[in-house]
Amino acid sequence: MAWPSTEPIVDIRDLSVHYGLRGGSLARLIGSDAGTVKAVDGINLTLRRGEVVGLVGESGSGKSTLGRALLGLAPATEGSIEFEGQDLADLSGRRLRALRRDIQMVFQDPSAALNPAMTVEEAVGDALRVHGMRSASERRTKVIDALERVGLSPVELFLEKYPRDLSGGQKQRVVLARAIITGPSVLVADEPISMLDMSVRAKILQLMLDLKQDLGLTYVYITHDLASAKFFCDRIAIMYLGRVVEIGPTEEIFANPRHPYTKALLRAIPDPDPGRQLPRDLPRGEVPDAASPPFGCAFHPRCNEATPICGWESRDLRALIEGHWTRRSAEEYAGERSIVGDLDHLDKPTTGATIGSAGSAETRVFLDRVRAEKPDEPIWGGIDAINDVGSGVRVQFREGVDPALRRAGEVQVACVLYPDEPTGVEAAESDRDRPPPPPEPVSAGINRRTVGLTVVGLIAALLPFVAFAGITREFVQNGVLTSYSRINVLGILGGVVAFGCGWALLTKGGGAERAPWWKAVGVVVALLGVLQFLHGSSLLVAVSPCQSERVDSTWCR
Amino acid sequence: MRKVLRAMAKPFTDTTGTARWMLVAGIVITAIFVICAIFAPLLAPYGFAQASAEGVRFPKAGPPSGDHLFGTDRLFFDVFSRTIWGARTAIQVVLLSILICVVVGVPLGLVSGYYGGWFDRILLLVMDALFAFPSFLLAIVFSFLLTDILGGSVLAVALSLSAIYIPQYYRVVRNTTVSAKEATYVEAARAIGASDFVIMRRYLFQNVVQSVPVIGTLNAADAILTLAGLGFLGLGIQSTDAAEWGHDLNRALEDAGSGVWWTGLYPGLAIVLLVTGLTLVGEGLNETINPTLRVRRLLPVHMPAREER
Amino acid sequence: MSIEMSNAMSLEMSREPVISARDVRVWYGTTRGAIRAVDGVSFDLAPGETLGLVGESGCGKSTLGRGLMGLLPKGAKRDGEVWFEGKDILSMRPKDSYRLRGSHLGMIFQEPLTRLNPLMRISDHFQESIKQHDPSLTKDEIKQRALDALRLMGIPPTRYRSYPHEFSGGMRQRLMIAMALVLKPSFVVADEPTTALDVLVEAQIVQILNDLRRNFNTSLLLITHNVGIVAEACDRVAVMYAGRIVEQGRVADVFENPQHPYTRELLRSTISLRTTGLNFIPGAPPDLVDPPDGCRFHPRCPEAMAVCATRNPVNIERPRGGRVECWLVGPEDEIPPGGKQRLKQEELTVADEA
Ligand SMILES: Nc1ncnc2c1ncn2[C@@H]1O[C@H](COP(=O)(O)OP(=O)(O)OP(=O)(O)O)[C@@H](O)[C@H]1O
Ligand SMILES: Nc1ncnc2c1ncn2[C@@H]1O[C@H](COP(=O)(O)OP(=O)(O)OP(=O)(O)O)[C@@H](O)[C@H]1O
Ligand code: SF4
Ligand SMILES: [Mg+2]
Ligand SMILES: [Mg+2]
Repeated sequence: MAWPSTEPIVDIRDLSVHYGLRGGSLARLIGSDAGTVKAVDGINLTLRRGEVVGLVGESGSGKSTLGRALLGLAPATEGSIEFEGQDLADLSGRRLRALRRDIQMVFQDPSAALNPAMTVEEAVGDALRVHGMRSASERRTKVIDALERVGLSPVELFLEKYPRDLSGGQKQRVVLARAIITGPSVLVADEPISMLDMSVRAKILQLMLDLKQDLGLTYVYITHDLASAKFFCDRIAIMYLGRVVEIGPTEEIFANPRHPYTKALLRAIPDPDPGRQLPRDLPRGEVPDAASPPFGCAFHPRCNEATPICGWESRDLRALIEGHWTRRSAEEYAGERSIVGDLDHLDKPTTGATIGSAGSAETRVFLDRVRAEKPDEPIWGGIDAINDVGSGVRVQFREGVDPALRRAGEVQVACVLYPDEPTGVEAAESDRDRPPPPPEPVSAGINRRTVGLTVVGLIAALLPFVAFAGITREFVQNGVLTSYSRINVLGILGGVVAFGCGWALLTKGGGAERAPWWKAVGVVVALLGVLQFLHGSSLLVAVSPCQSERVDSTWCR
Repeated sequence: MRKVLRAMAKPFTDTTGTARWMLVAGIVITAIFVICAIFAPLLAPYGFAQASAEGVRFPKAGPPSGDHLFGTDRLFFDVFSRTIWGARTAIQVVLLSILICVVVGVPLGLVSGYYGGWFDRILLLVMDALFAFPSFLLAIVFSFLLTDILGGSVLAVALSLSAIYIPQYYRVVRNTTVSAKEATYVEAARAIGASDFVIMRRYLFQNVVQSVPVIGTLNAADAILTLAGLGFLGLGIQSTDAAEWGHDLNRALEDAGSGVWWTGLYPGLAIVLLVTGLTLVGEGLNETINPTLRVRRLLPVHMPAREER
Repeated sequence: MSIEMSNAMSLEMSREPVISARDVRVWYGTTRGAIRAVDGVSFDLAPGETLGLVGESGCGKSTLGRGLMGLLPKGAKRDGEVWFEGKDILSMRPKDSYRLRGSHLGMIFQEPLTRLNPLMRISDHFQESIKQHDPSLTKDEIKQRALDALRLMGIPPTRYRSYPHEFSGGMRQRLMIAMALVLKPSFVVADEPTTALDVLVEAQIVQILNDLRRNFNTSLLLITHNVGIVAEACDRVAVMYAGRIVEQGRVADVFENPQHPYTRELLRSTISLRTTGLNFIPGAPPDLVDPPDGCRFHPRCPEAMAVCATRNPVNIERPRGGRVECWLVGPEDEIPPGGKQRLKQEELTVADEA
C-alpha cells in the first residue's frame, strides 16, 4: 500500500472561487450585479501522495466546488493550485484537458454521470479517445481491463449495456472504470456513495480502497457523512460556507473535536447503537445563505459556544425574536408583535438594528422579556448598547471577529475559542479577522443612454414585424393587401431609426468602458435596421399587388 | 443495425391505444404518397404536362372516364397523372426543406445553446424575429426573392420553406441543449478531458435531437400546406415545370363555376390526406417520445387467492 | 394532548392497536407481469408508537406506505385487511377512504417542495386542507390551529403568509409535518422524510418526529434507509425484504440480537462510527416479478439450508417478542428430514447486482 508519504502532489494556496449571482431580468438588462457567492473562500490544503483527504460539510459548504477546482472545472478567482509543481492557472485549455488524465473525478449520482446514449464500452473508452487513442481495438482491450478491475465481470455482459440497464452500484463502478482508465494519480470522489443503497455503499467503498492500493491513488473524498469519512480518510477537513473550519488527522478529529461545528456534526450522526441517546443540544437553524454570510464567524448563529465577539448582527436578533414567538401563545404574540412591528428590515445585515414601533420603553420591556426567557443566549453578550430612537430602540452589536485557521494541538481550527498564535502561512490569513468588506460593484460603466439606445433601436427594428401580424390576418380574411403601404413606411422608418441607434451604440455606447458586448449590440441593432429597411423597400416592389405581374389578378381587386 | 431497427420499432412497442392507431394510420397514408412519389413514372399513365397520347389530343376539361380516371383539365392535362406527379413534387420539396432545416437548425441550436453568451442572444433574437413573423408572408417574400435568383425550381421553394421552419428546430435544439449542458454527464465528460467539440458531438447531440423527428413530421405537414398555398397564389413552381397541387387548385377555381368539379377535388383531396397522414405520424411520435403523454401497456394484475404462510 | 397525559401512557403493547394490517398485498401491473412489491405483510401499531420500516431499495417500503394510504397508481391492486378504528380501510368505498385520508391518516413525503403548490401561500395550504375535512371551522379557528401546528414545529407565526419557496429545505419538511399533523391524525406514514436533508437538519427532524408521540399521541410508520434513525426515533422496527416483513420487534431487541440473517447482514453492512471493516450482502434483492421460491433471501443468505430453497419459512414468535420468519429460528418440527443441510450457494458476483 502506498502509505501516505510527505511528498506533496497537489498544493492549494489561498484558493477562492466566487460566483457572480444573476439578478432578475431587469437587473440583467441593466447589467447590475446581485452580489457574489464565495463558494470557496481562501482555502489552503496540501495533498500528499497516497493519502485520503476527506472534505466534510453540509450542503453549500463548497466541497464540490473545491473538488471541481482541482480539475480546473471551476475557475479560481484567487489563489493557486499546483499539481506536481505545475500551476493549473498557467495552463492553456488544451494542456489543462491533457492534465485531466492525471486528476480524475467520480460523481455523486452515477445515473446522471453517464451519458444515457452511450454504451458502457463507449463511455469508458471515451476517456481514452479524447486523449488521442484512435484504435478501437486497443481501446477495447483497455476498457475490458478497467471493467475487470472495478469488478464488472463477466465483462462481455456489460460492454454493450446502456446505463439504464444497470443498477446504481454497477453504474458507479462504470464511472470508476472511466476514471481510472487513463491512469490518474489523484481521484476526486464527490459523494461517491451517498446516492447508493446502503447495502451497496460498503461494496463501492471497498472497491475504492482496492483501487487505491493497486494503483497508488491519492483520494479527495467529499462527503457529508462523517461515519464513512472516519473509516476511509487519513485526514479530514471540515468545511462550512466556503471555509475550512477544522482540519487534522482523522483520529484526532474524532477523538477530540474542537470546533463547535465539528462537535455538532459528530453528535448528529444517527447511530444504530440502541443504547445511544438522542442528542438534545443540536445547533438550530440551517446553513445560511452563502450570498450574504453571517458577520464574523459564519457558524455563530447556530453555535452553542458562541462568544460576544463572534459577529452578532441584526439577522440574529430577528431569529431570536421569532424563536421567542414560537413559544408564545397567540394573544401574547399579537400583543408583542404590535410593540415591535415588522421585522423584515432586519434581514439587511447590520451591527446597528432598529426595532420597535410603539415606543422605546415598551420595546425595552419586550426585549427584557425575551431575555428573561433565555438569559443564556450568547447574543446578549454581543450587545454593546441599547439606545432610544424615535418610537423604538437601536440595538448596537459588538464588532465581530472572523477567526482564521490556527494550530490547536494536532489540528488546525478556525474558532475564537482557540486563539493560539498564528504561525507561518496562517499569519497572512489572520488579516481576514475583520468584518467582511462591502461587496464591490462589478460592472459599472453602462449608462442610461446605452440602455435607452438599445431599447429604442430594438423596438424600431422589431415593431414592423408586429405590424405585419395584423396585416396578415387582414390578408387571410379579405384576401386583399390593403395596408401594404403602411408596412413599407413603417419598415423603412423603423429601419432608419434602428440603424441610427445601432450606429450610435457602436460608436458611443457602453459609457466609460466600451465593452465588446455593447459593440455587438450596436452591430445587431444596426443590422436589423438595415434588414428592416431593405425589407420595407423590397416589399414595396414585391408584394404590392397588381404592380407585380406575378400575383394572380383575382387577388387584388 | 439491430440498434437502429429496435429504435425504429420502439414507437410501436411502447404505445397503446390511440397513439398507436394514430401512428399506424399516419404511416400507412404517408407511405402511399411516398410510393406514388417514388414510382410516379410507373404509376401515372401520362406525363404531368402531357396533353396528348399517340397523337390523339386529350379532351378539354373532360369528365372522369376509362382513359382519364380523374378526368382532364382545361389545359388538356390528365388530372390523375398530375395528382400522382404532384405527390412527387410535394415530397421532394418537403424532404429537401427538412434536410436543410436539420442541417442548419440543429448545429446552430447546439452551438448557440452550448456556448451561450452574446452569440446565443443575437441568434435567439434573429430567430425569434423570424418566428414571430407571419410564416406564410415570410414564405411569399422568400419565394419572390429566391425565384428571381434560382427560378421557379424545387430548390427555391424548398429554401423558402426552410427559412420559416429553421427557427423551430433552432429553438427546440437550443433549449434542450441549454438544459442538457448542465447535466452531470457533460461535466463528467469535461472531467475526462473532452473538448467542447467532442462534448457537443458525442455527448449532447444524441440527447438533444430526440424531438427533431416530431417537429420534422409536424413541419412536413405544415410545409405541404404552405407549398400548396404558394402554388395557389401562383408563386413557386410553374405548372409546366412540375405538377403541383396548389397550382392546380388555383386553376380549378375557374372550373368550379362551370360544373367541372374533378380538376379541384383530386388535388385538394391529396393535400388533405397527406397533411392528415403526416400530422397523425407527428402526433403519434410525440406521444411515444414525450414521457408525460405516454401510456404504457400494463398487464392486468391477477392476485391468486391468499395462501397460508 | 398534554404532556402529563402522554407520560401516563406508557407504550404497552396490550393496548388496542390504532392500525392493524393483516396479510396486505400490493402488486403493480407492468409490461412484464405483476410486481409483487408487497406480498403478505402483517403488523400492528399501538397509539403513540413509532414503527421503523427498513430494508434495501426496492423492497416495497414505499409501496406498503402508499398502499396503506390508498395512494396507488393505475394498474396496481391491493388486498388483505387493514383495520383502523374498527373498519377495514381496504374494503371501504373510495369516498370514505378519501375522507379518512388527511383527517385520520396522514402522509409525509421525502421531497416537500414537490408536494406544495408554489403559487399558494402557506396559509392557503392550511386553509385548503383543513376546510376540506372540517368545513364548519371559521377562518380564525383555522388560523389558530395552523399557527399552533407551525409553532410546535418551530416555525414563527410571522412566516404564516409566506410562499413555499421562501423556506429552506428543513423548514419545508417541518411545514409538511405541520400540515400532516394539523388535523391531528392518529396514524401517519413518513416516507424517508429526511433523506434530502443535511445531517444537522436531519437530526432536528428526527427529534421532532421523536417528540410527535408526546405532543400528538400519533402513531407513526417511519420508512427510512437509515438504521441509525430507526434506533433513535422508533419503538419498534420492521425489516422488509422482497415484499415481506422478515423480522419485527422492539428496536433494542432486534438490533442487539437479530434473529433473521438478513437483519444481521443489513446491520453489519451499515457504515457507522464504529465500523472497522467493510461488510456487505452479496448480490441484490430479487426481481419481484418472479421472486425465488421458498425463502426469498435464500440465494443471498450465508446460512441457507436445503429447506430454505423449497419451502416458505413460517412466521413465528421471536424468542424475545416480535415476529420473524426464517427456518433457522424454526419451527423445528416443520423442517423435513435432511432439510437442515447447508445449501450449496452459487457464487454471487457484481453481475448479479442488477
Ligand atoms: N455554477 C455555480 N454558479 C453559482 N453558484 C454556484 C455554482 N456552483 C456552486 N455554487 C454555489 O456555491 C456554493 C457551494 O456549492 P457546492 O456545490 O460547492 O457545495 P457542496 O458543499 O458541494 O454542497 P452539496 O453537499 O449540496 O453538494 C453554494 O452556495 C452554491 O449555491
Ligand atoms: N408505480 C410503480 N409501477 C410499477 N412498479 C413500481 C412502481 N413503484 C414501485 N415499483 C416497483 O415496486 C418495487 C418496490 O418499490 P418501492 O418504491 O416500494 O421500494 P422501496 O423499498 O420504497 O425502495 P426505496 O428504498 O428505493 O424507496 C420495486 O421493484 C419498484 O421497481
Ligand atoms: S430462511 Fe434460510 S435463507 Fe432465509 S434467511 Fe433464514 S436461513 Fe437464510
Ligand atoms: Mg456537492
Ligand atoms: Mg421508497
